[in-house]
Amino acid sequence: MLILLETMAEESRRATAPDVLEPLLVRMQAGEQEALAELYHHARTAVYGLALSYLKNSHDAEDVAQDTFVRVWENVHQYQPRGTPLAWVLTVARNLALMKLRERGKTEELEPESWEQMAADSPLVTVEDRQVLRAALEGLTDEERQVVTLHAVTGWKHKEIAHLLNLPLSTVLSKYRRALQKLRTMLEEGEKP
Amino acid sequence: MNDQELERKLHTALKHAAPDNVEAVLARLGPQNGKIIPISAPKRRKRILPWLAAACLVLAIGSGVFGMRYQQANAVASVVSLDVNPCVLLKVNQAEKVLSVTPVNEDASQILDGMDLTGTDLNVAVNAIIGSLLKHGYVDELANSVLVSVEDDDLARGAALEEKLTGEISQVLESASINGAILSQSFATDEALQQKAEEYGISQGKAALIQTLVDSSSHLTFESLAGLSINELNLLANSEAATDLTGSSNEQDTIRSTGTASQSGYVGVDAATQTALTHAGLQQSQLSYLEADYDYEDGRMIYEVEFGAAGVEYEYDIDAATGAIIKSEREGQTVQPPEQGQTQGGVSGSISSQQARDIALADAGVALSQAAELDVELEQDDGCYKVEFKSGGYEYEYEIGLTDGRILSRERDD
Repeated sequence: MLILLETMAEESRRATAPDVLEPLLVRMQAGEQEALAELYHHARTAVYGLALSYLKNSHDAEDVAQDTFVRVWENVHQYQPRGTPLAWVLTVARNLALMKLRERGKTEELEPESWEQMAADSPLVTVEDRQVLRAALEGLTDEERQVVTLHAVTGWKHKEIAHLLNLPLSTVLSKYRRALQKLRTMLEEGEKP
Repeated sequence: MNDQELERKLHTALKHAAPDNVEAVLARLGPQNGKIIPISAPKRRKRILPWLAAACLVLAIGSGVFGMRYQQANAVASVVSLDVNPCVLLKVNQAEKVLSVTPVNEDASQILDGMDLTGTDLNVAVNAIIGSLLKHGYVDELANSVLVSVEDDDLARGAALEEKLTGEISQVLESASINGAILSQSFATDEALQQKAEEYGISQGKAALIQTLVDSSSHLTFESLAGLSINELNLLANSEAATDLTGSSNEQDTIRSTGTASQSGYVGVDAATQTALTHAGLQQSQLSYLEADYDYEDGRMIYEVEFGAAGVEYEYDIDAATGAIIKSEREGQTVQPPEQGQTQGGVSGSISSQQARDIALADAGVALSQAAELDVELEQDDGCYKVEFKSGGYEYEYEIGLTDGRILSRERDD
């Protein structure tokens, strides 16, 4: 029986591990912009994924992702090394996303997006990859989408996700399972003629 | 498609959809905000009476001399609010001289009675106000929280002022032998927030604090929190109900907290936990995990107590003031109730969740007592149990066949 030691989750976790990000924040505190560029490289998928899972709008998510890195730069002196640099960055992203949602609450409804066109120009993204993204954005509840997206882009443990999203661990576990089950069902239904 | 494949696809799509334009970020970088050191340790001890005397002395001459001297510099740079229940609003100029003092509620009028703080240094005014709050019994061991808010469109200046005031107030509380707790925040002018504050008759600072709590929680609402005291809001701000606030590993720049909010009005988290365990018929030693913290539901402060034992998850809401059980739930029992629309079929001739758990533990070589966050769920559609647990720094996930107890998949992550 196969033990999948090399999972996607591990890969994501390694890219944003505290020992990778912490030195970057320290260098940023010394005013080094190059360190921010490296942080961007490591964390951009997680930040954008989180923003998109809240906002369900690619334009807003891009804005929030960019604003997050600018805010992180401006406020990097407030970061206190506690072994969770990505959690700090994602908390900034989450707050900006919530602010954006609040602003948006006062304006008109969003135009529907054609999610299958996202990343369509990249040869490394398969049709099926895009179908999963579309299913996540169209077929899941907000919390299900946030939980499963965070798990996919950070490789975090459920407890860490519960902490960031302020949800009980049991809720995160059940939302996560339900989300994956729903995605599977949606994809299977999509395959039927 | 299994879970890993689904997640990998989602990750791949997001990775390529995410903007990869670091130049755009670098082009926007401005100066960094100054270093803010959270104040946690009380500073030197001072007696409150000399402070009050000094404050009064300055006040006595303040309106005469300083008032005239700083009349020219009357542009408002920052608006500071001090909230306990009485709430006082101070407008200050760039030199941190007080331009005006406004009581936001009736209690505050009593606090300010006879004091003319116009033209004084902000720190003197703040000292006088906190001294008066103490004298009138608004800050004590039962409710020891003070909220300091600085509204300033120059965010760096606002943050610096916030830090300074937090230090001042710490000293005054310390000198009065009050084990105080201070929440502090700074923000730019926000008209929406201003409207909300006016609507509820509270300061913009309190409105900002409530808004932050609401934003970081899935169930708290502005309306329900507007009537809470600063001490209660402080307990919530530092609880799991708002874990991304200060005091947690996800510290960020919205609210800073120093000291511990008074819990004397409540039964205490230990008592609440014990109540829940007694009700569940469990001992603490049997638990795979335990979490207990403040929350606010149905108009009252509660403790939310969650724990797991032998694959069953328990969730209790305990009234924080009385210790009474308001809600109790358990899930993940031997065989979970089927989802709506499904029948309970397939159970006879199947293994139990405990057997599934034991098969997984045996395969992993982990004793039941060593497994943390153990979770067993029946996946009726897939004809299996999903068993998850942590042990020795690893996270395990098994799928165990419902009918034959066969191991269908196993994973181990660091």
